[in-house]
Amino acid sequence: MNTLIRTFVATLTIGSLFLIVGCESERAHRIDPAGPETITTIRRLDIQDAADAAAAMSQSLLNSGRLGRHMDATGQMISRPSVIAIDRYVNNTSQQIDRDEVLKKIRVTLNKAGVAQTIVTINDKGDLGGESNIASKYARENTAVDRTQYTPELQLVDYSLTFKILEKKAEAGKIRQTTFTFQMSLVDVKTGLAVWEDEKQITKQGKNSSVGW
Amino acid sequence: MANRFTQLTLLVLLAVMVTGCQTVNTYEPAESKADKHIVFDKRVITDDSLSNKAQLQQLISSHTPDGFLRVQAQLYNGTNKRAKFNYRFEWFDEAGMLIDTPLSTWKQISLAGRETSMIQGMAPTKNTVDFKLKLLEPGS
Repeated sequence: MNTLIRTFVATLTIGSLFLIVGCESERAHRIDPAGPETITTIRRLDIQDAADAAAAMSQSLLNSGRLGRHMDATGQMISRPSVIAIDRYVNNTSQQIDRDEVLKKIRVTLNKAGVAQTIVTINDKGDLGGESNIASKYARENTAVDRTQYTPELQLVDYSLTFKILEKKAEAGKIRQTTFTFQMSLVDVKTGLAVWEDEKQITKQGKNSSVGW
Repeated sequence: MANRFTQLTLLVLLAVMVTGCQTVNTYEPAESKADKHIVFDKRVITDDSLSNKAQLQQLISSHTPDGFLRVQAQLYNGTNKRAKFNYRFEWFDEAGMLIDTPLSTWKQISLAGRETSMIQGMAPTKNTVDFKLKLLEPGS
């Protein structure tokens, strides 16, 4: 009888332990958003996809050596951060993706690298009035109507950055696959030439979403 | 009957082995013309299984014309099966401080059996002097 009770208590204890451990893993907890514990979906653009695309594009831009070097008025090559305006963003996917999910990370990387700064007084149509209302107002008030004169503080744009996301879905039985294609071009605004272009593809395949990757 | 069952089991096992063992044949010039700057590394191995799946064969570095440090690591999958693993480059300045950058995210790479591949990392600033390469088994 004594042995039976002991076995019962031991089984109950082990069972409770399993339950506690099981519950522990499902409790809400914080994870590293740049780490491999994030949820991977098949159909959606996940945070690690955006981070991956941004890292690849930033790396390619830094590698190209296009930014941070310019000719001065005398024709000498000088080092100064390039002035970039954010141009047209095309989202050809079935979901709403904020352009800054990818673009902001690239801007942060280039800014910290000291090779580029983004102008926030010009919108994606090339008109005055960008992300910063106050700076845009200041620029509007200090720019001549015919735009022939600029205050010394007003920066001229060196490059514009165009950005496009595409999506391609495929299925084979229960296996689903989604490919996101990120395309980016750096355009010299004076010549209209795309001086740097790159593309990054991210393909995800599986039946269901999963935790970790 | 038992003999037939054994034959069937063997056939299935063989099929599984054949599909599981897809390896890569690699060809390259016998003498490389590249002038590589090889980085001698210091290793801390805590996962022996991963160190076989992702063998670090060579670490080379160079600078872009703008002065950014870039590093390439040549990895080799020493098994006969396709292996996935995560990697991350961390960057350090002259004072040995870690540089916080969106370029230091974990990335995934998949190598076929016996395949060699290069992974590249790009320093986030011009004052980057050191780096660390971390490899991690997926799902760890």
